[in-house]
Amino acid sequence: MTGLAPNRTEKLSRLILGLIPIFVLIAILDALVWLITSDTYTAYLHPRFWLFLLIGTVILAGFIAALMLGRLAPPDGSTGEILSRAIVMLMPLLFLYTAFGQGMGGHALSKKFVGNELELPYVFTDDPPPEEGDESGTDKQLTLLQINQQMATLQGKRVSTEGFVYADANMPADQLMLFRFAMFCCAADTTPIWLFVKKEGLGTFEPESWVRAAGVLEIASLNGKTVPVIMADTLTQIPPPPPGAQYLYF
Amino acid sequence: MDTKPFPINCSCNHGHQHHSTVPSGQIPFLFIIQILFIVATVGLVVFYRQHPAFSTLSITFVAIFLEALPFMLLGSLIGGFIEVFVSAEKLTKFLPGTSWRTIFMAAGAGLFFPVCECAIVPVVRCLFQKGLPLGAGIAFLLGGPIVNPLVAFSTALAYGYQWAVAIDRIVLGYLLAVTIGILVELFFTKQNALAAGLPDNGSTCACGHDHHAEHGEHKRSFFKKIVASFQHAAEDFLDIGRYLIFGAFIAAVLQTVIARGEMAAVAATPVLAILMMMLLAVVLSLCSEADAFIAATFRTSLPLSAQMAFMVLGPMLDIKLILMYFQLFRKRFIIALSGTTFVLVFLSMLIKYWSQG
Repeated sequence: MTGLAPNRTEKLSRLILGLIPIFVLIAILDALVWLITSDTYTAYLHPRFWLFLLIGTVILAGFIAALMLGRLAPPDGSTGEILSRAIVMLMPLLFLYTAFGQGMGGHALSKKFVGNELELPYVFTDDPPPEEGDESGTDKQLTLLQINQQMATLQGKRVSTEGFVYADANMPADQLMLFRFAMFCCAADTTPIWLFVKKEGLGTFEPESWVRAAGVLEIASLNGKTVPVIMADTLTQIPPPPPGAQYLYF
Repeated sequence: MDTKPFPINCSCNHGHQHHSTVPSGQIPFLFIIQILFIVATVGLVVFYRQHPAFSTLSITFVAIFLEALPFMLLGSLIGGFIEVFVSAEKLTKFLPGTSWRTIFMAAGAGLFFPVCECAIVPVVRCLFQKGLPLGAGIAFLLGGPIVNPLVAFSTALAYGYQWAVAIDRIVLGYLLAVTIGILVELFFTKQNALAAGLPDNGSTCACGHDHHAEHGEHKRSFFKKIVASFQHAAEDFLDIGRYLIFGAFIAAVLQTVIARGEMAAVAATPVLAILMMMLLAVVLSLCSEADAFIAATFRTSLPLSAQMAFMVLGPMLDIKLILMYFQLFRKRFIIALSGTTFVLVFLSMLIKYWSQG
């Protein structure tokens, strides 16, 4: 007996297996469209990447159309191999869903922070007194990155900035660290940008709470490294921005 | 050897014979890896979702995947067009007569054809199938992601427009790519380097069928060729994409577990500093446009040769790339290529340190 025609069940199963790669591509395409249209991609990528994501979306649409114009035959491999490959391809979407609304915080800081010493004793070698600030009386609203980049010219001027709080038991009671992550391409290459805030009667802030600090910017020496310090007169906890707005960008 | 009709979705509508490389009755190794990966990732989501490290892991994993995805798609598409539109004869005419000159040309091709390491793997796969010599393909694979204007600019930017650092990186990347390409050409052939099932006769596509020869009598319309290009590209992407996902996940886990600051502290001597930065490059799996910014954070604590080791090795060899290489090369060749690349980068950075500091 030779070459019996496949029965209906077998035809249906071959059709479903043939459609699986298309479903996978459609799922990835949907995710990309959502990331672009909702601006959620900025929680993972530099904003300039929108064009690359758009190009990827167009190419994916082309792939889907081309596969649908083909014979829709199942990919090579057993049913288990085909299904497991499809699930693997969809795993990033599972993590995208579970990480939605979350941003990088203190744990990421502990892994990305690079200091000159293994342990940083939080003692300043000089502790300048507060000085008169900007003559206009208004605080310059700046990002942590701007302050780090321009600290020499900003020294002695009033500034205001925002960031996450990091404080540990080794820090003096009147000091905390403000930090944010600066990105060049994606969240994997972020570098923490930070400064210290000093204020009498600092109070207690929950780790990773978002605060706005305003005061006079000074430069201190910390184990041979110059660090900006805001001698704050106001320190206010405010609602954090959404994850996509928490990064700074090179 | 198991044979079954190989269904192909190309518009020529020809069925093709496929020869499975797995003896019948055995479970393919890749299938086991896929199952383990699914179990591990679902387990993490179910049991560790509330752990602070999970955010770092998830965000890093998704970020690496999303960043690489457009380039992977583009690389697959370029590969698809090469499959359908470029015959082996055309490629052979374009290349210089000797394989040595081809190696020198391929290592610098990124200057005119800038690609990142994610896009380059599917492109090189197709070029191998069209007859590109092995050494030249390796030189392009290693040199392409470094020897390109985008990387030069981002490196200069990261180092405050010190163009000497950028030029250093490009030149070192080029010389290493050429050297490794020549070594590969001397000691390996396509037969013992390329993965089983990857045809190396220079005139076939990944299904083992020569479209150009078969369709000599009845040419396909331009539209059908475009559709065929996209179909090949889609299948390529689905094939290689899972290696990208494995690599991105492992890189995310390592970034979640390993602290950069602790690794910097280990680097007490220049030799250790170079080694440590090379390991960090393999672990972090960053793109070649961004890694200069990470290297630059070590400016005040590590010698330039250690920073350069990070910037040169990373685009050539990282977790993500090593896993993608499994789709292209045999295991023994991957080990040899990885080992040679690692050793040569290390030695060249030692020489750099001794000569320049």
